Amino acid sequence: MKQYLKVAFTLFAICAVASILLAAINQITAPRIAYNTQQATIATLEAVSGGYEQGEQRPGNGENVNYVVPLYDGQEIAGYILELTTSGYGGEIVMATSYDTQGAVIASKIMSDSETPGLGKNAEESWYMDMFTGLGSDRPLPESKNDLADPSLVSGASVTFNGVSSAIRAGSEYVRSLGGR
Amino acid sequence: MSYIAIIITYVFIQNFILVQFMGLCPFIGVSKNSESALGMGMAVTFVTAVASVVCYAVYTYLLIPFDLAYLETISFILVIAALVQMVEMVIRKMSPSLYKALGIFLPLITTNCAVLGIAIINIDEGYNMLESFFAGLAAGLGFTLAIVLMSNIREKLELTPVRRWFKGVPIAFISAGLMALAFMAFDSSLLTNLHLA
Amino acid sequence: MSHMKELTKGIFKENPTFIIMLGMCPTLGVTTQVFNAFGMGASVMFVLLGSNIFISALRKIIPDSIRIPAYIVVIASFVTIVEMVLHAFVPAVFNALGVYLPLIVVNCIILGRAEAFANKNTVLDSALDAIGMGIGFTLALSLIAAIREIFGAGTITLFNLSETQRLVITIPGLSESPVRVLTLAAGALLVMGYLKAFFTWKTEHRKNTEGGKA
Repeated sequence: MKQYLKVAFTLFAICAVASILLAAINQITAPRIAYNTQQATIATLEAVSGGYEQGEQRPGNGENVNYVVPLYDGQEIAGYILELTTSGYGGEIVMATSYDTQGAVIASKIMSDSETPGLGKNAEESWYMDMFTGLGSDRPLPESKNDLADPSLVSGASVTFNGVSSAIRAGSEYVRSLGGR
Repeated sequence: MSYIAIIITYVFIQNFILVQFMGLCPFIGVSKNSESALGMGMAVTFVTAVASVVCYAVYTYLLIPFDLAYLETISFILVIAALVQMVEMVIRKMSPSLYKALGIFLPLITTNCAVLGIAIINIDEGYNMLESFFAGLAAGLGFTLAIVLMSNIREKLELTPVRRWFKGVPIAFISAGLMALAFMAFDSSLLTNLHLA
Repeated sequence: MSHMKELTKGIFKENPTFIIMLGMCPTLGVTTQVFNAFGMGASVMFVLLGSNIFISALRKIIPDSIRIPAYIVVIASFVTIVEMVLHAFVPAVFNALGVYLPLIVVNCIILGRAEAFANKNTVLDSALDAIGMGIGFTLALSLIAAIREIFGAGTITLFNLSETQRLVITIPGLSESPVRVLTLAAGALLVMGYLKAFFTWKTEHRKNTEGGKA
């Protein structure tokens, strides 16, 4: 019996020391992690804002649009930033895309994804998102990679492209449904 | 996500061995004959399914209310180790024949990446308890499928002339690579085509 | 000079990846880019060093019957420390390694070294063993990653923290039409198979020449 108690106590002591140590480190890192996440979101929204003033955040449609940030040019609404969720090859993709009031893409940037490096991960690059810029009102957004000027840019990663482009199309429609308000 | 979609995802599209590389050590180590491969597969399936549910419960009802999410890794691995030990004891008492079939594989499962892997993926993907159970079950079934197929290939390879340097593990890896190529036919467009996504 | 031997054996003679064949999941999972291999290698080395030192220091205190759970607690604590520190200070690496980071807990190299080495040897030898094994693991990962990235994408990513802070060598000719399959899962298994065959040949070759000398 005494033997068991000693063994149990040793294991308990090791666990206790480990938890205290981890709690201490968590105290240091947790605020930093929260700060990083917040900064990253702010930086992304700023990067796609197209130089307009950001207004107050509004809730999205509860499906693929997480939230909406209206963009102001003085008092007038000039467009919107949408945080969009879609699915890629390796799981969920979250991205921020800005549109003018007509639904044409101003800029777009991936916030998080788990795509394959060298293939789907290319969506994180600026040249990838530039393929969509300016499209969505007069000129239509691409439905599939065959609508692109150079489909080979996304070859090997059609699933990612379909996810990203369908999210951008859905966002464009959502913006048009807002009707400039 | 429907349960069928989860099962198809983890058995085929995200097959734990051939796509995510989880559980490669036993995959190479225990795939020499099909009987032990099936035994290992069944033992892993059992543990991944149970561990998924238990780890989900620990995370949702213990770690989150007490704001201890950072203890995820350490608590999951302890839960899994304890669970494997318990499963071993229960099977030994309840069914000696099953113990004879699975017993030697059980201690190896604690350090099988697949078990901890699916527990963490369940939390990351935000599955609920039932979804976690199906994901765990499917991950185990995917593991079983891959290891049984592999053991059949390796049994055939035993009788085939293979270059000396490639004998054993190297040719096993290369065969697994070719299997993975075949599994690339499954991607998430499969779910779309089946109207599940 | 025996201390030196503890350090160097992990690099080639007992290389954890190619010779002992331990810790396969992260070896293949994260080796799509050279930079990820460095990150994983460094994380494993840190955990290995910490756990080897602690386990070796506590080897007289931990009763034999609970040694495995005790080791797991020690290892899991160090893994959690790495996770939190990377998440806070180098989020790019944290995101790139993904689920393979917590999976270091079940990396057989670490438990294997604890069981086979640290619980029988002094703190100094265990630390040297950990560093050697860590270097061997990192080199192996970098080699696989280099092959996969050079032929699979035509690039070598030495450093990649964000779009502005990165160092990528692009190889002309290969980057335009790379062998994409190598960056995918199947390519990882194929590369590993061929490398293992190469090392089997190399070990045998070495034994033969050494035998010839003696």
